Amino acid sequence: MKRNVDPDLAQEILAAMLVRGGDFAEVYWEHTVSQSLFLEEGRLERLTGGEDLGVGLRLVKGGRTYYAHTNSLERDALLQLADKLARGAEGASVQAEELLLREPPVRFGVRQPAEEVETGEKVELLRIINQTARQAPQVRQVTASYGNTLQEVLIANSLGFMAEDKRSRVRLVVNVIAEADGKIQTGYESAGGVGGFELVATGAEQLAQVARERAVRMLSAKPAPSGQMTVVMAGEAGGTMVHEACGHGLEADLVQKGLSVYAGKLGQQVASPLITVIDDATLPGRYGSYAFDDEGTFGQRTVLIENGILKSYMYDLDTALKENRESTGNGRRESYRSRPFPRMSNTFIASGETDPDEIIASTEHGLYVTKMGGGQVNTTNGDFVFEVTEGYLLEKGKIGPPVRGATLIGNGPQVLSQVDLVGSDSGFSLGVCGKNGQGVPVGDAQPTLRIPNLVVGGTEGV
Amino acid sequence: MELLDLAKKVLSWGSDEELEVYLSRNHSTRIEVSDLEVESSNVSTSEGLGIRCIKEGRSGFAYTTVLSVQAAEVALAEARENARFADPDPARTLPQPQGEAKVELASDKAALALPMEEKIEFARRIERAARAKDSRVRKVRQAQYADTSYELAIANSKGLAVAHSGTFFTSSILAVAEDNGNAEMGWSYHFARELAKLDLEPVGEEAAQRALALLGAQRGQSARVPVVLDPMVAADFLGSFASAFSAESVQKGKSLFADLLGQQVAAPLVTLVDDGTYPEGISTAPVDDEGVPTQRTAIIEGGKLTSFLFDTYTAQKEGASSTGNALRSSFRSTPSPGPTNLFIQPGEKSPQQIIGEIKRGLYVTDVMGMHTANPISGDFSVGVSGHWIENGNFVKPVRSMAIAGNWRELLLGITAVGSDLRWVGGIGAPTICIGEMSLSGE
Repeated sequence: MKRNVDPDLAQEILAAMLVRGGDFAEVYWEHTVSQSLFLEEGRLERLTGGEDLGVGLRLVKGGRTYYAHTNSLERDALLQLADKLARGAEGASVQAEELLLREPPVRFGVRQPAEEVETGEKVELLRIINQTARQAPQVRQVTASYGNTLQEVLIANSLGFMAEDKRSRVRLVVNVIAEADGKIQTGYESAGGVGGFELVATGAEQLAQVARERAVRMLSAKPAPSGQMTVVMAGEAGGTMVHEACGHGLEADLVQKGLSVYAGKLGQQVASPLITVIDDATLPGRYGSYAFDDEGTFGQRTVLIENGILKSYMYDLDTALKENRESTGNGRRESYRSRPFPRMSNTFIASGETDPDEIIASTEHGLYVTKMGGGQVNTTNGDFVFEVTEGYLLEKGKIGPPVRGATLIGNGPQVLSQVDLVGSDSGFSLGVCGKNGQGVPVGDAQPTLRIPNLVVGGTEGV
Repeated sequence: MELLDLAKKVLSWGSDEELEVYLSRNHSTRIEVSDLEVESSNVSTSEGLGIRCIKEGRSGFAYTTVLSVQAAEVALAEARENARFADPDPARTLPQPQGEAKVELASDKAALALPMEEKIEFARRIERAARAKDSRVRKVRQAQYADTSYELAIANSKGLAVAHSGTFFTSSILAVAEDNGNAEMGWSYHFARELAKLDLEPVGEEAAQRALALLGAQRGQSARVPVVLDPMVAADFLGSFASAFSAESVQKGKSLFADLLGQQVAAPLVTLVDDGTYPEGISTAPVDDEGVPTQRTAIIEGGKLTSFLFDTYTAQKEGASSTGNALRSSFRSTPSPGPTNLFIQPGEKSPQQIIGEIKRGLYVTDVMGMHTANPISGDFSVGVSGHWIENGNFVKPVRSMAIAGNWRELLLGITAVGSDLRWVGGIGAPTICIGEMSLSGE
């Protein structure tokens, strides 16, 4: 049983794909081993593990992408599939370049490979979380989960690029459910990133404590206000807003199709001069980091917006080819089952100069956001939402009583232009970003920010 | 190798434990068109197996995408190893063979074999229909046609062995309308188990209509008003809170309906049904994902909560019977209770009648951030766009607003259920009207 694609076979498959011509051909081999543990009701309930092995073949010709994937790694089956793709094109055969293995400028070290850690030790983490999270009488349920994946890839394309990569990711998640007077609140926290078990080995207790305290604290929260108000987002709140308000709109595929409000605005002022937005795949340890993207391009740091001026979009090979430029190393995919698209890595707003405490003190009335959840954007009109899972009223420059979760809605370019104070702090959050039905791990961060006018989707004061 | 043969091979390795093998294989083709040009064509085969091992109430699981005897051996060893670390629970057990539900599963294998050029033409027809609707429809993000054939096999050490297969076809489009520098999107989707029943032009036209209707939309004033959800939005809400009806959520204190069996949880005109035997449903199958026959289960009848959805484990836990609702997202995961074809039973009124009765309110055609709704507390707060209603008529499109509330209050507050049941995958809903909701805007 064949389990890998070696460079010779890759070269052979590329040639088979190009027998009737093509601008670009690619072989993507992936082997992912993962383990996940799930604790609920104080019991370790689900332990699962497995391996995912497959190949994706891609042929691009005249703007058309032909994609195929399979779980069969037999030479004959792969060559047959390549032939099937080739039949979509019409023309004379072209030659693929000789494959050359490329070494990336950064590699992410793994101190303690998660696959080598005893399952018992991982189980212990979940028990610690469970125990810590239950130390409050209002706690009704605790779910804790741990997961590690080791993804090995070989990417080879007709331009002669070949890359091999091993990506190790670890994630620890806790969700605490608290109840009082028939009201339920939840507290969610997660930790992890690119690396080994060392990323979660310590700090499980603190993770559980933070989640527990939030769930219990939110039980006494009043309903969130409804309507327009000033919003201050704490650095610790995460980076969902930047991800939605401008991240997606700067992905080149959406821009090229004219589906983004940021299309045609390179060199123009699209945000307040206080705003600089960067996408950086090379940050050590972050959830969205990688040495290579999923097309074999080195991960890199790209300044997207500098002092409010739009500097660059995010490109994969396909969109870069269309503009005759280089990929920015943002070609990512969930697995061999999908073709890549321009996607974010770690996206953040650069820290500013104002002391975060001063931002709070100088705000007369508003909402103070200390934890953001998920979000979504309509890139066509620029409207976006993000969830506030922990927030407080701001009254006369002081943090007031907690308010229950609500969605905030705004328009990307409008909101970014309005930002009037940017803090000197920064805080990363990790998440899984969805696009075209594919999820990829990302990181995002913001400093403390003040936005004079956002719609808060609560229920109070209508 | 036939899927069931491999399953039986794995079962032959069993010792003093319960073993289950779940295998699946899919073939699919997907065509994406934009500007009437093929943007991508995808052909794929996905296969794999998952093995569950239960010993003394300890359950472990492992999967592989490699359908070979050797890979299955490795997976079995890993499932056994995982079971060792699990905490015991006597309710963890596999189902006995219980036969199969009688369902009609159309299989349209002939359509799968159509030449690529014909399939490409299907996707083009969707886009052409969208553009033909109005000259302001200038772009599409993607017009898509897809077909899939699937085979499934489930066997366990208690003698259960079932296999089934089928086909389905989907069409979808995200169309963009532009006017005076404004751009708005509209989405539509359809699926069928036979190609002949798949809508193409109507999907394009509807998406175009939805985008066009929103052109010029602006933020409106905050208010507490009646809110009408169109069927696709109502289905989105239902899907987001479906887990509240799972017996697992109930047993673990994660459902807002936990202690409410037999009580009024929705307006009397609401009946909510899960039906794994629904004719031509996308989730219709003779058995669920652990091999138990599917059935029709009324969850809410006349507003009263009548049942939750059970798999074998949750049924065992409280001495009930499985409702045939064991669900897996793929061979990579273990089963847990979930909906098959879940829908709000359609009522008498046409959507026009429902809208016509509203003096001042909002008709919602799009929500943003539905995934942030909390199915445990029932709280939601989502971005909306749609149409402002005055005296029974749409007077202006609105966007950049939010509605907020609680799922329980929403169900109790329903004042009208339309006759226009619409399916989005396995979730179906008609137009519904909620008497009053918080709308946030200027």
